[in-house]
Amino acid sequence: MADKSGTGADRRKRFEDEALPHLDALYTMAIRLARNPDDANDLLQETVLRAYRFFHQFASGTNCRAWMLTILFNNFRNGYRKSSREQPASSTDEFERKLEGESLRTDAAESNPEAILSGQAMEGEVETALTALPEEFREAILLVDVEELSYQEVSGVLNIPIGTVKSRVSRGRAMLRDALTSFAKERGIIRT
Amino acid sequence: MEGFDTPDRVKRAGHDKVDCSTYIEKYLSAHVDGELSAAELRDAEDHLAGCVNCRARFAEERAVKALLRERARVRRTPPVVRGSILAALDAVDAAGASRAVGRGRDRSAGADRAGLFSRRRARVWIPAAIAAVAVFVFVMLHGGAPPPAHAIAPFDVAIDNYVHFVERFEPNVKSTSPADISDAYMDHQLPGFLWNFEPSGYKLIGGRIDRLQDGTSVAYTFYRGDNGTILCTYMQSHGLQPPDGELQELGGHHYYQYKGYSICLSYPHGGFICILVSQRPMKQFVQDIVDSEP
Repeated sequence: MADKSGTGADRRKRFEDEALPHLDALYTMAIRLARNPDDANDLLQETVLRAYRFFHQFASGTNCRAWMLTILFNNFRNGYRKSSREQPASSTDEFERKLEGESLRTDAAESNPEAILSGQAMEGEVETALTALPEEFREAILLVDVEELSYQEVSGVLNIPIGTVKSRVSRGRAMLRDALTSFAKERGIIRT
Repeated sequence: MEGFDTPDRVKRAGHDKVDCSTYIEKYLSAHVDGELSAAELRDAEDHLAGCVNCRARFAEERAVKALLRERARVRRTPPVVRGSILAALDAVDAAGASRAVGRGRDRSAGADRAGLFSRRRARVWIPAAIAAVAVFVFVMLHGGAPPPAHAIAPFDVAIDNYVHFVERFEPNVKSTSPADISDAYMDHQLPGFLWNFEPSGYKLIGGRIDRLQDGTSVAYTFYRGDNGTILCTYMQSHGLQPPDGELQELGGHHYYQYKGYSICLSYPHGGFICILVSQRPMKQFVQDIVDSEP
């Protein structure tokens, strides 16, 4: 049985076994949040050290990646956000407008998963669309699609109700879909 | 047989429940993510069975998800970053060992390498169990220590405002929601993090942003609870190092007993200082701050 107040060496070993395998997941999110390597590295290091310090509070058997991402987001809001706050209001508005107009359109000509998935041609576009996504939607989408957390876990990480997670994922994906669809049209992958 | 639904009738009822816009707004993403309840899943599948457009939307949503997963996938941590983090952990272990048994030189190489990115912070993390003991010990040892003899200007500013705000706090950030206050601070290039002292029974009363003579902004956040009040002041650090006379450094926070007030000085990211002022006895004040962190 792991002794929660065990010796330093036990604790370090447990931390290396359970927490450090998620370092890449944390690094990926830190890069996305901070958007500049120095801040991201700082955020990552502070998160890992804090997780180590509070490791006795981690409930074994629960999702350690979600627990560490929670700390990362708390740290991020604890001062890192300022320098990486980049969303000009116009991009949000623009997305909102597109969303109003297009998200419910379902005509078959536009619904073409193969076209959207011809992703080799769309690498930069995915990044652009993701970057332009308002922060709250981007965070939810990244946690679900890239970090592979459940809605319940995302609710814990972002400290928002599960219904809010659901609607942010839904709206975020609709925005991404619209953006990617119009990129694909511009490039002639989808005919209008 | 009223009230007894055959499977068919259940199915029809489900079908009626979900139209295209309901499916797309409420079900689609959760359907793709495997987050629907059994009943919702049945409704969703009933709808898709009869709707070619929504079937296409489902395939498309799944494609967007797959594309993201493929294009924005988890990246490898660069070895130098990983190495720096391991060294920082070594430093924490070494600090813990030296506090616990009065030694710790064996890992000093790790401590020196630690904090490649965050030298100041890396030194101050100590295991929580030791932190809890330290709270007691330093309060016992230093409870009656004389205050720092020299004046510390930022503390004086913070205390003057605290005294004034206890009488009357006049927030000038319109909203009292933490998110809005945080946004207002960030709009003035101030740290967006707000302390949450609710675990200790303090309510966030509001935020205030002023401009100092040198043209920089300062933010005041005021908290009130049954046991007292806390004022948080953010201002630029101008290179201020923790002044002499501190009682203890704990979790990156520097505690002072100064002119009869309990003060906590810390350094948010980005060249700022955060000064918390309260009239709470030091021991409770430290506990309030420890309890406010995750």
